[in-house]
Amino acid sequence: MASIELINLTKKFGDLTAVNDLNLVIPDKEFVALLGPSGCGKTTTMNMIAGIEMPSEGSILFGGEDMRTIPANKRDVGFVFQNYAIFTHMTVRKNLEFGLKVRGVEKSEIKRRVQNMADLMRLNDRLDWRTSKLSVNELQKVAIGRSAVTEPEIFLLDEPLSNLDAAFRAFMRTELKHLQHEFQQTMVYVTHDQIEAMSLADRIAVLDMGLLQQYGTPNEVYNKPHNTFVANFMGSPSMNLLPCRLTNGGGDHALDFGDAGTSMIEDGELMRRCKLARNADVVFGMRPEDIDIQPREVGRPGIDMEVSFVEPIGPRTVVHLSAGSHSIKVAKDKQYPIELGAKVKAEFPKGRCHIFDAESGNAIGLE
Amino acid sequence: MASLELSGINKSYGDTVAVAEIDLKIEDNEFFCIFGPPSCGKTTILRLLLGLVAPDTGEVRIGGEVVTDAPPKERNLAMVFQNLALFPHMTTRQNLAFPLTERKMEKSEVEARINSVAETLHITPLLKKLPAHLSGGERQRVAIGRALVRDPGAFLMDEPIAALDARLREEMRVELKRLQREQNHTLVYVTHDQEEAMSVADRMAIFEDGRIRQIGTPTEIYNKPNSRYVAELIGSPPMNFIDGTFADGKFTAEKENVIVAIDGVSASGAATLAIRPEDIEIRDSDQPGIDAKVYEVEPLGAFTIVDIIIGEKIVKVQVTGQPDFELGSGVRLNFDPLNCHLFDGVSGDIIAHAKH
Amino acid sequence: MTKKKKPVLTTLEREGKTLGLYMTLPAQLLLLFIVAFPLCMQLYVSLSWWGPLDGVKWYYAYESLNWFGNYGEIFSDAKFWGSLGRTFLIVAVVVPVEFLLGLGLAMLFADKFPGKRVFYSIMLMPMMIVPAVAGYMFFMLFQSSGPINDILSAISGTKVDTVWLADPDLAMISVMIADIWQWTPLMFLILLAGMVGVPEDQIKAATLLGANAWHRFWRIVLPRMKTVMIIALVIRSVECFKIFDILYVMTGGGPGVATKSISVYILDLTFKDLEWSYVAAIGLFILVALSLIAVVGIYYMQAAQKKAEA
Repeated sequence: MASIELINLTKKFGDLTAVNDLNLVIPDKEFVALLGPSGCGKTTTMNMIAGIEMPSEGSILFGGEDMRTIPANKRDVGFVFQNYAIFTHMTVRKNLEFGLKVRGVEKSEIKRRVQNMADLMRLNDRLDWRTSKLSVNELQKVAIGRSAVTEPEIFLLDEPLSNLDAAFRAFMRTELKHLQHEFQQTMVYVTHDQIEAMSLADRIAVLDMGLLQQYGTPNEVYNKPHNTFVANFMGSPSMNLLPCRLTNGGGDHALDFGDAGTSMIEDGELMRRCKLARNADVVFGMRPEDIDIQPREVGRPGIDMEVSFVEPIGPRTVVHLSAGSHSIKVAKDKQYPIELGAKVKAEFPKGRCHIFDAESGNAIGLE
Repeated sequence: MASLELSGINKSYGDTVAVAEIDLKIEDNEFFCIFGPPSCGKTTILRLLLGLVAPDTGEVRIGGEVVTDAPPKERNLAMVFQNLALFPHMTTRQNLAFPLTERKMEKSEVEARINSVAETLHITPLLKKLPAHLSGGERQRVAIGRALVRDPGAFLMDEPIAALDARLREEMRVELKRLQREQNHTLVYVTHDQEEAMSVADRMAIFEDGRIRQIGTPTEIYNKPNSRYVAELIGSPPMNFIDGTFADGKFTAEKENVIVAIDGVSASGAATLAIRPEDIEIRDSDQPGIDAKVYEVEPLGAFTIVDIIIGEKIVKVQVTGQPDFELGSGVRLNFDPLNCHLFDGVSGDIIAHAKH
Repeated sequence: MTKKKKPVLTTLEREGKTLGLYMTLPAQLLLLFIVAFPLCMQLYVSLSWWGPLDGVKWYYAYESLNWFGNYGEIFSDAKFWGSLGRTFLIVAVVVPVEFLLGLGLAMLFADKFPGKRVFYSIMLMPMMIVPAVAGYMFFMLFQSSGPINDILSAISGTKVDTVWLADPDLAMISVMIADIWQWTPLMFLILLAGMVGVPEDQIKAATLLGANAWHRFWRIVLPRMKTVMIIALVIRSVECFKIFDILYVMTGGGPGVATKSISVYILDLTFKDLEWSYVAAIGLFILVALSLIAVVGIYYMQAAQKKAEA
């Protein structure tokens, strides 16, 4: 059993609180991503799990067992560093052997396991190379192979893909996910890239400023963000977040976007959530792919805007619309026919709207 | 603003060829991206334009005038470096004023220019601050501002926003594009990020080992890549390639059991079929199509990437929304011939573009 | 359309190349003069019997030209070989001891501990003391009525009045102790720099792969310090071979010739015996001999390196 429990985990460096009262349960055999911008505490959390950093407060349990007194070299976790930390004075083979040698594994067994790992990682013809001659992609394979060869039950990865070129990154993403499904290890994966987190993880823990913002499956985090930070952080292009005021002039509920006009609320779910708002100042959120672009004559809820910029980004076209002080992005299929300066209506379809409190940033009436 | 032209350029450093056979015309008021993997000659092109290095052969023209041997200061180009190179001991205002006072411009004129540039870039509140007190994005704006005050013939930018985080990069590139469009600048922009290049460029050149592989608008390059090399570099998730043979108007890959008839192609021999992830259709296993199995599913919110095995090959398929797929379940894939590109299996050159 | 023409250097490139030559020319000439002239002069004098009592300037040395007479004498000069042997003995004992002590201290200082900065400053002090003064300090410490004997007496409970500097063997040991005291800090400093240069990530990686402290040191730190260690050993060996001031102040080379190093022997030849041309010959002989050893050593080192890389 290799579940990981973090209980009231806190780490302070002087005045700085890197990790603040973090509670997280990572179930056995799950792939969990710690996601957040730089300085959010994700790497510190991982270092504490590995034992190379000691928590200021709180505890870490592996399979229910407290790890407080277990030093890093006895925790038996696989760890892949962002810069790989390959032993550059050794050959690829020596790197792969390292973890087994220091454990005193028998020579023939070491040979067998290293050979298996080299086969799996397709490093066979590189085994006796010095690591200085390897490409970045190969170094990465050595780094993963070196940790995997000791067959740890817990695997920690610190931004392992960030130095790779785009094509190999996409390939490794799939391979990593598949490896985890094959070997059934508990994996914790630190990244600042929401695409990586979404595509790889069974669950994502979104962190900011040392605090856990949300913990859930990729689709939960994407579809039901708990606050504006999560809403903004997940997805590319990011969610449109428009500050506005709730009005109910003459019984009709509406969102007042100031100089961009108002939009009636006809969406029952949005209406329910708006009624729970404590303040009239709210933030209206909508994913770029959920917004429709319509002629202005269409009477459904939305605001009149003008096309300010069109980005043809491969499979998609991102249309930037603006009105007054507001601007939004709308994601459409490739070769979407639209012209700069076109006057359109950004329509907000039912059931796709998000609403947050303007002051706290928390989602209102989330179920 | 001025057009920039490189014709018949070769440049080597000792035995290393930096760039070769470069013929490139960047039009007046154009946002031109130079795109390629690291050390493909991108930066050498900028250095050649700036006059920091001289070509071994060929001519450099700025605004139609030959400047091959002219020193940098006579070329009137402004450069924004990757590492920004702001003067750390100077305030934003002093940093902006530097290129002007260096040219002995009058004080009132300097003030006027700084104020107008600060306005355009929304950095007026930062004028009194030192670079150390600015955020990454703000520093970026100041660096761009310093290039902007001079009213140069053209701007050259070397990965100017590569150091910023993803969200800020998305914002800054839109802002750059707005600036360039509003002020009618000629802008040469070096990047290794294909999404960035696609987003901002009027036209782009794709480099491989110091040579230009293709020049065109982003849409042209995305839809009609002239080689497998270009097709691999552009698009995320990357295009799928299936190696096989082409004969009698049909592409065949035996291991993957893929047969696609492509009209109007007479070539035969080793060939590679290529199709974008968003152009593949996943069908239920009882429908006609290529036998396949779900390998992994990568949800990305707005869409989902489904990795599917055909034969021993993994194909990436991008579908809209958040559909459910069971790992290991059987499906059928449909490759519409109209969406398929065909490349030469040996040289990688294009044989036939997708019709769509 | 494209016309072929000669590569054109921009002003920047052209300036860069010629300017470099002009700027370094004076330094190159000066270096040539400083190194080459004294060596040539020494070689010239060593080929004669010339001495200060001849009453002629050094450049008239050709008048007493004897070609390799001085060099022949070296081989039958027992005093020379004796002092050379003693010098090698000192190097052979002192350098390894300094190395091991320095390495141990460096390992200690590579980690954090309270008061590290203070200890660090204290550690480096011996190195900054003028060697003659250090010699004087140990001269006083090793007096038969000095503090060393007092301490030994206190420990053993019986009165110790060893005459350290008057006994041939003990005098040698005393000199070695003094040299070790003074130069271990340098070894420590070089080795610490090497140890700190081992990337922390690699040590962390080794830890997480299950390596204990010993494995981390033996498999990661030590192999990465190889170059630094060789540099430290070479520097100290060369320096130690030239041992003079600390030794001269403590024993003057005595008792008898018990601690006479090659430097002290050369001093005697120069000022007592006034054998200046012979000194020149000895100087060149040592230079050539040491260079040969160094060349052979470097050759084997590189061969070993290549073997490891292949």
